[in-house]
Amino acid sequence: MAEPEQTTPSQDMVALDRVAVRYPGSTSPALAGFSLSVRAGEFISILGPSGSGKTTALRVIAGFERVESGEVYLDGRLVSSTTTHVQPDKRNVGLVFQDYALFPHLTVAENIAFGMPGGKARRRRQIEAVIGLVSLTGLEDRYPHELSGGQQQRVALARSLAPDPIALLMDEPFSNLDRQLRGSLRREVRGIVKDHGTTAVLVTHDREEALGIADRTAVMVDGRIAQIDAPEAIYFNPVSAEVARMVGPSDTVRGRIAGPFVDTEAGRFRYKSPNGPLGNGTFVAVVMRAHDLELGPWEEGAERRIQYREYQGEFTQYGVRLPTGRTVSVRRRSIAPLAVGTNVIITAPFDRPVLVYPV
Amino acid sequence: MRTAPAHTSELTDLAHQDLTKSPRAKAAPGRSRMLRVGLPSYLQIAGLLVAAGVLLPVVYLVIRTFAGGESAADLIFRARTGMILLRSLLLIGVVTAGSIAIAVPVAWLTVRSDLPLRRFWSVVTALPLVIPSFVGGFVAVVALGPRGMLQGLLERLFGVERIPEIYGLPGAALVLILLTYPYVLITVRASLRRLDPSIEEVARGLGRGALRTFATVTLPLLRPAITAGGLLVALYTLSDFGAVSLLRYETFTWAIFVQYESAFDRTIAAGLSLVLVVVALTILALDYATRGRGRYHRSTVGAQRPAALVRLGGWRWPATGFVGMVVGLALAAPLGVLAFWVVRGVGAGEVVGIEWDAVWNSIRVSGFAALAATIAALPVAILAVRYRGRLSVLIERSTYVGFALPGIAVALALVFFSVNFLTPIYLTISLLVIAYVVLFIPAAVGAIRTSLMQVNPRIEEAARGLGRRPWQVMLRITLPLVLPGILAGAATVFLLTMKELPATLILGPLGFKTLATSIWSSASEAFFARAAVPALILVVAAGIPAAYLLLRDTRLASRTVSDGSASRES
Repeated sequence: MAEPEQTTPSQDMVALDRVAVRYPGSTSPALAGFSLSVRAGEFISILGPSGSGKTTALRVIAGFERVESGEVYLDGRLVSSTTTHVQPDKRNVGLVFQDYALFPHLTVAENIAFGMPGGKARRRRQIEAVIGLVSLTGLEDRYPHELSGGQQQRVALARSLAPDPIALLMDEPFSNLDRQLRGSLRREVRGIVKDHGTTAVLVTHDREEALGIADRTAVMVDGRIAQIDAPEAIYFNPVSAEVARMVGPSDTVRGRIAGPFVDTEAGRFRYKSPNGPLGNGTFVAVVMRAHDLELGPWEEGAERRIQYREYQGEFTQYGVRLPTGRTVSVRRRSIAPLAVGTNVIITAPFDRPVLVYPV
Repeated sequence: MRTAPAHTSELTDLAHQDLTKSPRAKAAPGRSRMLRVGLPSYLQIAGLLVAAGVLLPVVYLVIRTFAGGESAADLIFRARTGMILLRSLLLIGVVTAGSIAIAVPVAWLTVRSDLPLRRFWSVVTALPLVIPSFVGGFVAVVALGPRGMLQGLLERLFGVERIPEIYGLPGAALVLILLTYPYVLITVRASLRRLDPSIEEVARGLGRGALRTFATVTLPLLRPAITAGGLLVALYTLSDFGAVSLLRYETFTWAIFVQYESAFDRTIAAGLSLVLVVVALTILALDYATRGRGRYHRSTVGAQRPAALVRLGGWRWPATGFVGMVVGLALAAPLGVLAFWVVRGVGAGEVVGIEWDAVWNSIRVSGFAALAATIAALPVAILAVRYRGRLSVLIERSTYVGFALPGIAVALALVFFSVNFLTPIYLTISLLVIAYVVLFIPAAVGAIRTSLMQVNPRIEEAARGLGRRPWQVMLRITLPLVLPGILAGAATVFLLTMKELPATLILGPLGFKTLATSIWSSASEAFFARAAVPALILVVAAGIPAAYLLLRDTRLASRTVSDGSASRES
């Protein structure tokens, strides 16, 4: 068992080692063997569908959930284990919630000052600095209900950054904002956090957000991390069909390896196997990304025809019905449109092969 | 829940126990709103002490009765008890049906129609709530009694010498219907405001007419609220002492009081009280059993749209007449009668000076009761909302005892208990205040609980994350945010204590006079002018906190409609 002063060897600011959490009355664990290390100054995003345990992971780091087994370290200090539990107020982590959780009876300045140590004069200087950092100068004396959603979000960020936390933990921080604001605030938050030099962990179910904001992204499936890597690396080499589906819109069909190709009911494609070479005749799950497919009219046979067409402006999405009745989506530039009912052939361009995983 | 005013929310809470599970908590399984770490043990200890204090006297009542041996059992089960039971049940049935019949149309008219002066009516229709039943009973006797004002008027005009008997069931039922319909009104109104208007619009769009939509869609949706309000009325009627004693209709409460005052052996009084308690619990159990599993939740989150008002057209004036008649009978007439007797008493040279010591006593004990009940309710409400578990639920439910139990039964239980175990405080103000706390703590718990549920627990977690200890979070974040709820709870307890009669009669120190007891004793000895002055003072004094609560209620209701983020948490 861990001793109180045990430290991890690396310079990790946040480290979870094989953490398990189970909610009372629930049969399956919320977290099982969950491990994660976040280096100082790193921005990590955790991507997972609802119920995958990503919020639980955040609450474990913050100290709002106890661990059933495993250990949690903050800046090298053991804060959670089977026998240890440091209270949330003794952990010095910053929290940003989906609904901001601003103190409604305090002004912007009072909200920000709430967690700051030190005398009034020193605090005032720091408050000014933080307010400047999140561009809220002039709004110090407003109350939360007098602010827009984006401004409230910035106050929440400033409030958690002000005490210089070991790590900033953000739970779906943009999901209450409209789409346009979300994009610009995302870039802004990343900038602020990076300027401040804070280590950050952000949890989201939004793929664009997870890949766009972070240095590394962790993809969660069923209470554990399935893959953690730079966003591009995950996108191009997802380790499993589940991960692939989570980082890009795609359809999965069955296939069989035939030399450099994989044969499927959608056609024959070049493939990439992220988990190493596969022998001839291996049965595989084939992940076909809508963006990475091409479509052309095909006169012979009638096995694959366009079932629907959805015009989206720059792109047009087609649904192609396969012999078994399954549909594969193809997203194509909106030039030379194809009519519904047209027989087609699906191809994958040379540089964008389909992904295969042995089944 | 939030739109029900504090003084009824304890009941509506009881009727919808599992509303604490917010729709959001349901939508995201595995994510809990509760703080699972750091349940402070001082809260648990305080909660357990409160629960024990509330339960002990009642448990002792059971022991005391059965210690009386066979004679007690014989007395309880004799025929007269059966008659009392029948009369009580008959009164409950008539009053509950009558108050629902008045309240549902008034609720609909004041929430959904373009009734002229709608805001005014919505406050004054709820105000009869502040008239204590003994004042209502007294007014009925002087106005409608055998040689009362109505008969006098009719004699002068038409020579009528007799009008139908007011004593007995008709008088008691009339008074209680007019005093209790606000309980149904308030719960139904809250439910009407919360109702998603698109449900009705869909029904209209599917080709149902306005009336059929009301009958087949709106009314079924209102049923839980009607049931909850009706339950309140039934329990109020069962535990009422003032109206039935002044109108001479022998129900449990009056029979118990007479037994207690006259008999040397108090075992019969204890036994009857126990039967009364069983009846009250049976009513609660029946309600629980018939309520069914179905619950109505608004299925969407986000801002709620207020419903469009229905145009009454030609029905405008008949509708106004109806609402005006209800207010006239239930509020204006009693106030008018009281004012008339004050004036007449002064004119006749009677001594109608204000008994300042009674006024001061009423204010003093009500203030103590409000303070004590609030302090006792805080740990219970915090445990129930923030640390929901088997023990917290048990503690919370046990504080509902006072809500289910008639005042006279609690008072007797405390008499027996304190005579044997707490002799130093028997017949002191301390014991009286304890009785008030047992009786009215549900109101305080309900109000604090409701406003605590509106405080997003993430706000408390954010404060913890910013380095504050649990008690600091409580002091700087939670308490300031629930302060309006605490004040509303305290105001409710104050109001209820001012109106309380049987416990004050039984437990008050010797010679101790409050407004309530001096009204009752003057009225029961037919010194009507002498009763009118304190009655008027009491109604006005109780009207102030009541008006505060009603205004707060309508304000909250309008805010729920306009503020989606607040309604989502409720």
